[in-house]
Amino acid sequence: MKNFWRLFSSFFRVALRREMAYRGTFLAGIIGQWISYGAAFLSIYIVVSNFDVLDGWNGAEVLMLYGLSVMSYAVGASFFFNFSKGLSRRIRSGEFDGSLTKPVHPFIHEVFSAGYNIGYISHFTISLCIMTVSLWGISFRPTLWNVLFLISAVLGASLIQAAVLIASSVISFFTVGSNPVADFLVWDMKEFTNYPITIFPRGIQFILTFILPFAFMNFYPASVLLKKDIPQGYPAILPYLSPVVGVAVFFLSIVLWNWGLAHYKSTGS
Amino acid sequence: MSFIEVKNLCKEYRIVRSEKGIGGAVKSLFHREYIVKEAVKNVSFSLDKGEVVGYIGPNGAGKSTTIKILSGVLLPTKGEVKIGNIIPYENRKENAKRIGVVFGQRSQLYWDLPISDTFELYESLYGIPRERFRQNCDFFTELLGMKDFLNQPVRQLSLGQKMKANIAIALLHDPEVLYLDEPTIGLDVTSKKVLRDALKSINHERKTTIVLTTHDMDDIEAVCQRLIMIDQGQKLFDGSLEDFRLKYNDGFMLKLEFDGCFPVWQEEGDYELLEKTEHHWILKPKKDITSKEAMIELIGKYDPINLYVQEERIEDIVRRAYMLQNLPV
Repeated sequence: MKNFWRLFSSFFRVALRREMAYRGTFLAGIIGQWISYGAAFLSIYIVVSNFDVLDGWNGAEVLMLYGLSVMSYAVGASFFFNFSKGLSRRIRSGEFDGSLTKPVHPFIHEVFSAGYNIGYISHFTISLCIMTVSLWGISFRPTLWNVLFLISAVLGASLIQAAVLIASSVISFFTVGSNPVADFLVWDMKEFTNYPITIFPRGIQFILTFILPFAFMNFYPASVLLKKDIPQGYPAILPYLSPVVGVAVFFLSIVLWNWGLAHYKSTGS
Repeated sequence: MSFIEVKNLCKEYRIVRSEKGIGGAVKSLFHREYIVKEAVKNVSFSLDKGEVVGYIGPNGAGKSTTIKILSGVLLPTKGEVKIGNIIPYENRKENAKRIGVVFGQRSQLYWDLPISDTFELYESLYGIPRERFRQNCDFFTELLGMKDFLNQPVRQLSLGQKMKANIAIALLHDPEVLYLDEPTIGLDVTSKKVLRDALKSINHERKTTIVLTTHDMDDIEAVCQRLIMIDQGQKLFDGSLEDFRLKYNDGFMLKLEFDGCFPVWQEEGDYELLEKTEHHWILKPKKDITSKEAMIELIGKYDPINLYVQEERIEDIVRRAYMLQNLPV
């Protein structure tokens, strides 16, 4: 464990120095993200404030869903985005083989050497703004319980976001091209969670809870803070399970990744 | 027992048979046929500690696949590999501490950072003791002549400088074995020489076992004591450089140089004219003859001002050896 942190800090230093090597690109990236997420934020806000109430959720409440989603993505993607998107290229170029000749687990080596993506600081600051607007709009009471619950929900959600990025990289072990089916499952299904899942048909509610548990990133924790209904007939404990689901799917995604790795080692891709 | 043992090593790849045209592409979406390609067929050899071995063969012969299995990247389909009693693909991490690997042009360096930063990263990656790390940094910087570019970002370095850096980082943790997959590819003559000399002294001073694949036979002549040749996944030769010459060499060549009066080449049954320029000929005896006899005969006939006897270059021998193997039986 001591070695793990030593390794982490060494790689972290290297990653920061790499990001800082191109200041211009770095700043332009941040501004670009601000514009694109700012626009998305506005469009959701306009839709929601025009409808006034969406299945019992007002504008500020729906914004919390978006805020949680962006914030957890910022945390998860800052550690795993480079890793997830780069794997296919590194396998094709043969650089990945280098990770298999190092005295650490290739997953750890890949994640660390892919680098921490400091550009997600823009997502994080955007999500802070969104959350502030939302919490102010719902007159959030910052009790110890409320604050701790919110933090643990964000951490659990970040693990889910990380798991999605890890799992979506596994396909690189099997095929060289990108996979539109996986991209749909990962990116487009997540779009549903910008709105309370209770407005969708039962089938989609089921998928977002039990198959691709994206609803645990924002809908369930928000339903606790906002005292909203969850889909009829679902266990009342579900809204509290985000951190547990987060840890579980994170480990599952690593198991899946190792399974892909075993395939790579026996076929050479 | 030898340090590295490779027994009946086989590696098969399954390749999708792709059919031509759009029709074929659509068909392959639903039904795929696989071809089994045997990249390595029943290869066995053993190496002692401190040996330097050239692993040669034409493109696609199975060299890189063997190196990948030895370094723990790939699993063999059949057979057994042991390196100092460790099975590399089962104890990958243990094995990784004891080996250094350089895969040709695939750099392990960080593009935007100076080499010295990558060095420090490897210090923590391999848990190299501080004191030893300092010693090794100085040693390899000196040996490979890297002092001038140690603090430049990697993107500004030449191919040769990057290769030197890659070799240095593969050796910082004092590995017992060094695998090099085409280390001199694309380098200029001077860089090649520096690398070859460095490899020799690493082997000499640290007793590092070195396995290198290459297409440049000068690498082999300069560095290796032993040669393993494979083609189409099968081992064709394993032995000393001397034995290789004895087995595949067929004789010597003679170079005749002329000054001014250029004689006329008479079509001879006994000699083959390999090369003819303004100033020299290169001949190869077709009959069984000693070099002394040939020299006397040729001086008498053509009166050259210089006459050299040339041993066949290893490059040519290898080319012939590949050709011999590929003749229809």
